[in-house]
Amino acid sequence: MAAARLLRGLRRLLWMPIWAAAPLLAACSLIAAPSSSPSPSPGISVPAEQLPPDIRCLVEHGARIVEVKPPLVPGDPPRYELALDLPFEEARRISDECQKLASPHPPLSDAEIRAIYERWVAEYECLVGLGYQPVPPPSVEAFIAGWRGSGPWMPTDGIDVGDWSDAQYQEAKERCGLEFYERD
Amino acid sequence: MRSARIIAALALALALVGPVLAWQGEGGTQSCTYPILGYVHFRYNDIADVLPPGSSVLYLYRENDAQWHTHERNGAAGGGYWEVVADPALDFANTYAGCRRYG
Repeated sequence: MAAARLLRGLRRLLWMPIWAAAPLLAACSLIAAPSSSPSPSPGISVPAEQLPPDIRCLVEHGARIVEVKPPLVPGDPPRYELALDLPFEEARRISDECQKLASPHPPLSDAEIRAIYERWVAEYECLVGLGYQPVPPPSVEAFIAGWRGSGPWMPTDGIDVGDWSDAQYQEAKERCGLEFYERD
Repeated sequence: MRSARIIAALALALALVGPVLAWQGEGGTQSCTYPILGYVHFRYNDIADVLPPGSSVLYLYRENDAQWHTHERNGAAGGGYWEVVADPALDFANTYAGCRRYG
């Protein structure tokens, strides 16, 4: 157990530089990208010309589209979930390389984060109404700081959602929204 | 063998490049008692690549909206090795694997 914890700690230390090197490593080695059409794979079929470049790249490398979800904010592009059935290192290499083609979304403004805070406080109050005892919301200033830091407060904080049955999850989603939380 | 590859990649990274992408990652092994499923719970900003416990499939979440999201995905019965990497940020405190009965 202790060894596993130590290994986990070491892995955390190692991650940042490894992924920082990813573009270079990928540039050196992804030349082995498939030169022929990928084999057909089950999944959602979307015409290639309708896909953004990063998603199209993933599909061309064999990823299948599992789900296309509407954006949380009107005007944003759709959200994609894909699956890549390849050895982990190879799949990650492809992911890194294709991600270079993505158009990065600009960081949210204070006003946009405040709007999310207000929606999430309402979701928190809904969960309280269902009998849960989540961690109360912080100040909006602390929320914004968390958003721009290692992660913000969320309405389910303090609830062991991993222990929820599917029925509990469905009830919470239907009654309270929980826009930020999804199970696959 | 895997550790050797990681160390080699780390040395190369330190020698040749500075931080270019902001991928952050975490992983480990989650063993469950068969037939109970392993699952991974992860909180990330924008995009994430997820290998659920014991799975051979890498799942790619492309939100591309600069927002924080929480997801859970089941892995294999009995669990196994898992990893989550996210760009630009992973909430380490809220990223973990566990075991649960299906349904």
